[in-house]
Amino acid sequence: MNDVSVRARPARRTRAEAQDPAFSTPPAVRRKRTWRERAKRDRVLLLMAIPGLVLLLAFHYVPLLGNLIAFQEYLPFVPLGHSPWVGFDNFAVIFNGDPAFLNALRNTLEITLVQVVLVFPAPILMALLLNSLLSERLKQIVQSILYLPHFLSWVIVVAVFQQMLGGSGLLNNALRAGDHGTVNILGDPHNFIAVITSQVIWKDTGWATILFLAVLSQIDASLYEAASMDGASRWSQIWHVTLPGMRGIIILLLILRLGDSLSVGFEQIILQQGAFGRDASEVLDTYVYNNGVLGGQWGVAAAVGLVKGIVGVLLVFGANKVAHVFGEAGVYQKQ
Amino acid sequence: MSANTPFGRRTFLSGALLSAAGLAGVGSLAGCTTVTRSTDIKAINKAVALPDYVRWKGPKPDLPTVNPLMPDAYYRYPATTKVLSGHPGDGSRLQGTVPTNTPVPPSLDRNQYWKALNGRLGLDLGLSITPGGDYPNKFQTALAGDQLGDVWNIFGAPPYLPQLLQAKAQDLTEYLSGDAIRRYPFLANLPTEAWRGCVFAGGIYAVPVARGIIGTNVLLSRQDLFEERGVDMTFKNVDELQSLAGQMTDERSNKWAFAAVPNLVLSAMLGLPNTWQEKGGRFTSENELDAHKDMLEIGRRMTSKGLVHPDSVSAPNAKVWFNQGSAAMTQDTYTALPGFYQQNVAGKAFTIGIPTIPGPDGKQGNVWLPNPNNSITAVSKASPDRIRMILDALNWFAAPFGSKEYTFRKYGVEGHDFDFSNGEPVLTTTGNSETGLGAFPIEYIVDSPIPIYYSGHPDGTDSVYRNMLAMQPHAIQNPTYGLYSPTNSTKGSLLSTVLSNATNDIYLGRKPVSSWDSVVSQWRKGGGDAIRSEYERAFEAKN
Repeated sequence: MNDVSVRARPARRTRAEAQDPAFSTPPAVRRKRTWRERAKRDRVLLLMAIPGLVLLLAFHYVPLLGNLIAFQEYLPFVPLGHSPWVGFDNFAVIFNGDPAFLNALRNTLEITLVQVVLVFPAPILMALLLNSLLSERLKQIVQSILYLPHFLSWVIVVAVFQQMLGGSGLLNNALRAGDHGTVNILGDPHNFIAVITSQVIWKDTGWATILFLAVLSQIDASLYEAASMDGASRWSQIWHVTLPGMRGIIILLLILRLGDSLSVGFEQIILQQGAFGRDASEVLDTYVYNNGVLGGQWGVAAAVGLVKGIVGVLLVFGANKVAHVFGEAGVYQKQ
Repeated sequence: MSANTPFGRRTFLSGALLSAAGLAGVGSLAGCTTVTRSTDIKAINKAVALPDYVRWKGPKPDLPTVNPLMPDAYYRYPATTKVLSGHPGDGSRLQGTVPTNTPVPPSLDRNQYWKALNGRLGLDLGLSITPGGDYPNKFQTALAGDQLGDVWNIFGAPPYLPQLLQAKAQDLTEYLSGDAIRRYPFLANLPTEAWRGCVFAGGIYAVPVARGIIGTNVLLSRQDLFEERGVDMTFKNVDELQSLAGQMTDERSNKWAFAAVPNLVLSAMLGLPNTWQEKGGRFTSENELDAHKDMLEIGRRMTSKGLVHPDSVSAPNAKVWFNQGSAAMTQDTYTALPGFYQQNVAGKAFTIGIPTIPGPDGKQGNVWLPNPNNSITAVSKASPDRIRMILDALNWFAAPFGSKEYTFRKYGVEGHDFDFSNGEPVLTTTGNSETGLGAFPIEYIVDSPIPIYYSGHPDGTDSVYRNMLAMQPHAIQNPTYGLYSPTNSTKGSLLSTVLSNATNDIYLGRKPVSSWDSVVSQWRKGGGDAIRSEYERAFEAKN
């Protein structure tokens, strides 16, 4: 959510600046009147924005203030104002090489890396495949089937995988019935990343495809005509027309994904921690939960969460800078 | 998930905005008081005069109660008497926070039982009900948001419990200590052992949801399945247990002997002490003993031979497997029986047998007693009059088996929630829903002692009574019960996850049994040694 606001706000300002010819040298009186004029002109839109703004403030910005407990020795039964301040003591766990924390960090980074490489391109490929289907009807049917899993909660998805691949699931029952010996898929820590990655792909690829399909439909058809007149094959058309047309949105989503790179799916993982063991499956989010909520170390958990958020913001800004260097629009632009 | 909760959408929003306002005042408040994370073991473990125990003489049991610790046993529902007159309440609102292990019952406006309950109590009872698994999280957040209400169940051991209770809960000592409790005869009917778990820092800070010996983990066997296969379900040693388990396993038809490795059964068979061993004031964890490694080896062998359900670790669902018959044996408590009977899918034949557990010498083994309490319940600070009124209500909640109040509490309104069939109360469909399968969550505020009685299943009474009679003289208590260790309070749950993860790794063959030594030394360094020395000092303070 925060990423969206980062994107939306400065963009709105730039547009306003562009529309207001007097913006660069604003005489105080004039500017005030202009502001009022604009507020008057947009009052309906502004009124419509208020509920959203209140929600954003109440559920995103106000709770942010709770991060204060990262600097306190906080106990839930002592009022916030009475908890003693401890400076940066709670952050020690991040820097003093606590093996449990390092393990969680390592697992998180491994999962992020695998998911950026495998999960991120999946909807792009899927969109290209769907786009090449000729029958519009078939395309719609396939698309509906593909995005339905998105609406299942993780509890259901994990249960479905358990029923199919678990020790007494469909696959192993069939193997047992045929005296073939069983395979241990859900329960072998080595399979952890593979299993959760395939679950993510199965659940969310279809949904993520929608965005790319929308972009594909916007690519000017005359470009394809021109390309085929010049004798370009289907491959060259994808390479020289389709992909360049999608580049903007791909980079935008990649940058936003980087901001989330330290969150790798809390619910999905906590549901399967028992099966795979904590060594393989502890990530930063579950570490915060296990230590903070269950272990009562609220301050330490808040500190780790805070650092995680800051790293995410820095990654978004950094990646955006890199995008600008390569001449791309990125998430937002400064004029 | 919560029914009839005070924590509605509006309070949620106003809470969010208020907390913003509260934060503005943080600077000015800081430093005026600080609650320390006290490590004064002696002070936290100070003793107090426990409430008197006055056992209520109920209807005559069908089987003799040989030992005072044993619950009364009945084949049939006894004739009941009204034991309390008037209403305990003063018409005010009483708000509670409780867990439930059955489906959350419908809210007050759609629940005849709840309305009748409020009428009899003379109270406007509001409950925030959360499913058991989520309860610790709900508790922590409700605590931080000051939303716990007047009475709140404490499940397990939240971090810094003594300090939490001192900050938020009423010290009930003057109302309950010694003979003061006699004013509340049904609270006085709760055993002394249960009250020991309610004492913190020299005060009685809670009332027990007492279970006692009936909460003991034993080995439950599907007697009907054993008989069907012609296998004897009794055993004298580990080899015999494994051999009968082999006969009960048929992987190709999805049948396994055990729902999970029965750790507590094996521990009793190997003569391990109950969690901790106390000798002359020195404590040793059972995890440190060589016999524990023997247990791991047996568990590993059972798993690798395929005697244990293959999803026992990855997707445990023991109760369902036992009911379906895909596991012939499961480790569970005596109190699990009513649930199994209620959810029986195997038809009339369904019979639960409880084999006795032999010790290393082949005779009855030392079975581990559980914590005498399922949980405890604290009362928020209030005026003496209100505290007395609340205790009157709790006394009503504890009205024992054999009273009309008990029948109403567990079964609801006759003709609507339940009917008598052959003299046994049987819940109707409406009753099942309204009372939460006969376990309306006021039973997690306080409950009467649980009798050995299973509506329509006299065979269950026989199985439990016989097993308990044999086991009771050999039952051993955890020596740390009633002692408080600050390190255990904060690190205990994390440390036990480390141990249980390592145990699973060994059972599933991911790590050898020999890896246990390094796990134990990790446990000792990570807090185990600190917990030990705190328990030793606490033991000294209490004895």
